[in-house]
Amino acid sequence: MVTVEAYGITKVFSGKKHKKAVVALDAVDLAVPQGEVYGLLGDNGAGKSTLFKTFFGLVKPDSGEIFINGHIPSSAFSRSNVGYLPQNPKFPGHLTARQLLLLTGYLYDMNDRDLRERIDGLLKTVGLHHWPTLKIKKFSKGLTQKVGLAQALISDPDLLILDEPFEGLDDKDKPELMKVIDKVRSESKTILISSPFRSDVESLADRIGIMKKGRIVQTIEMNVLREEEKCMFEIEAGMGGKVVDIPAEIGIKLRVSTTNMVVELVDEEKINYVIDQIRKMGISIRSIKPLKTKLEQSLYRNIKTTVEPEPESNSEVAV
Amino acid sequence: MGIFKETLLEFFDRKQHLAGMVVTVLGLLLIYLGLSKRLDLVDNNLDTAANVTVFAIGALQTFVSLMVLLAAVSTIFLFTKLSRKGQVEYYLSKPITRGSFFLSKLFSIYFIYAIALTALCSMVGIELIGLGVISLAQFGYVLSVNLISFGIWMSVMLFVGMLTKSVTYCFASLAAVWVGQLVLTGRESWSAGEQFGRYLLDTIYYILPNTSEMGQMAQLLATGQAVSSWLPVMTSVVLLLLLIYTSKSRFQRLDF
Repeated sequence: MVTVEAYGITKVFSGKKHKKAVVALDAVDLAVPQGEVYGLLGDNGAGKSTLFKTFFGLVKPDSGEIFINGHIPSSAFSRSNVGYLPQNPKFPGHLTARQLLLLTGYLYDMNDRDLRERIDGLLKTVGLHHWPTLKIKKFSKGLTQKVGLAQALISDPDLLILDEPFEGLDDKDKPELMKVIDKVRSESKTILISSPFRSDVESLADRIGIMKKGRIVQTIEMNVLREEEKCMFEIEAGMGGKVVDIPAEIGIKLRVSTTNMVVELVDEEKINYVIDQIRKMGISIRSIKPLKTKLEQSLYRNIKTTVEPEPESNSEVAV
Repeated sequence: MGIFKETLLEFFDRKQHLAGMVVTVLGLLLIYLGLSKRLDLVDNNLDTAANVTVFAIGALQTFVSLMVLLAAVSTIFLFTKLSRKGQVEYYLSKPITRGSFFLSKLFSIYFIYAIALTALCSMVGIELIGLGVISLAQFGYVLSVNLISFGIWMSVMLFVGMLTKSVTYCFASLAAVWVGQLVLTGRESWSAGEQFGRYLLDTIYYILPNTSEMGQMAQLLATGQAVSSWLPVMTSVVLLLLLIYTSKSRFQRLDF
């Protein structure tokens, strides 16, 4: 079953006074089946948030059709089984986290007893139970994103749409939120998640769409990408003229020079065997890095304007 | 916790009840001081009780209409917020239609402010009833007409807020309408002899909300006098309905 369907979605924001008209969405097609985690990557201004907003009827497309759980966005039914965390959410600042969740539950027409139990659980899950009386207007960015995620999850929806959920989060908050989303993912929910950074979505997504100037220019199956990535390594070492023997059941050497070697292994863990072999020969290893595949290079090329590949030193394995 | 309670919490969070209390206490003091002098005159047979009642109703009407204006000004921020990106996205991403949300929010705001107005104005009413210068029915006339006036002012703020998304324009339109209707109340003296000019001014007068004339009507009703024409009330109520309908239609078309 397809949860999110969008066909030929186009939206042009007409220019006011001296400003030019902006094509925010240009004939976007998207189909996300039930249980899939779909990551949407792209620049700021690429159209990710606008696309998500069209799913809720917050932005009305000039042309095209959208169906959310089989309903058109103008129907309230289309939102009955969907949780949404907007980009830079602004919740009623005069409410506490619990009050916001109560209000959200009311809007989903939830049973009062179930709602209160769910709120207790969610506040603990996202770590907001420590601030029972603090009003949202006094929340940090991290706390706001946490309460945003909690309100998106309050009705236990089958479809979760998260627009840049990690934006502005520090190193402490980000993994916590990632953990919660990963838990939701393990429950076979459909998730749409957007970010300008690949690292935000790669561990979660089954498929990644790359958005550029209002179009989805490329879609990548993450299992294919992961399979290709994990098997190729470039080893920088002073080989000299020495030959390192790699049996066929471990992998093959693709390129060998006096200073480095590129190997394709049958699985990721076989790199340990290669390292052991090199050390046995008394060769010192300077670095080992997983190689970017053609597919990944293409991904970087498409979102290069904002998403630069991680510095190579980050992906190197210190030996 | 529904939209009504959320709006109520926002009302208290913005401390508008405290601002209302301060104005009410000032009103209580001023009216008491003014009435004390008039009551002394009655005691010394220099004035009649009927005159004091007229004075008291006038004072009550002035106080209540001031509170209505302050309440209308307070709602400006709520209505401009409704038309801007931000909090509205939270609501509209939930299984509620735009129309239901808009009307729920609108009626919540109206009822909360109407209850607050009733509570605060009742303090002045109790003072006047306690002094024996007006009756409960007279207070009721003044309050109920002014609650209709509040609805009309609120619909003007809603309309301008929805159209322009600007707090400044809302303030400006409130001032323009207030001055306009006051000036146009005396239109008959300017256009004597000019049929076209008279029709034009009449049309503008009846298009604008007639809250000041409604205030005069409240005083007439409270003092048991006949109201010569109900047209200002009717045209103002029609305007209220039209502005709410137009604002709702506009809200349903907005992109957030």
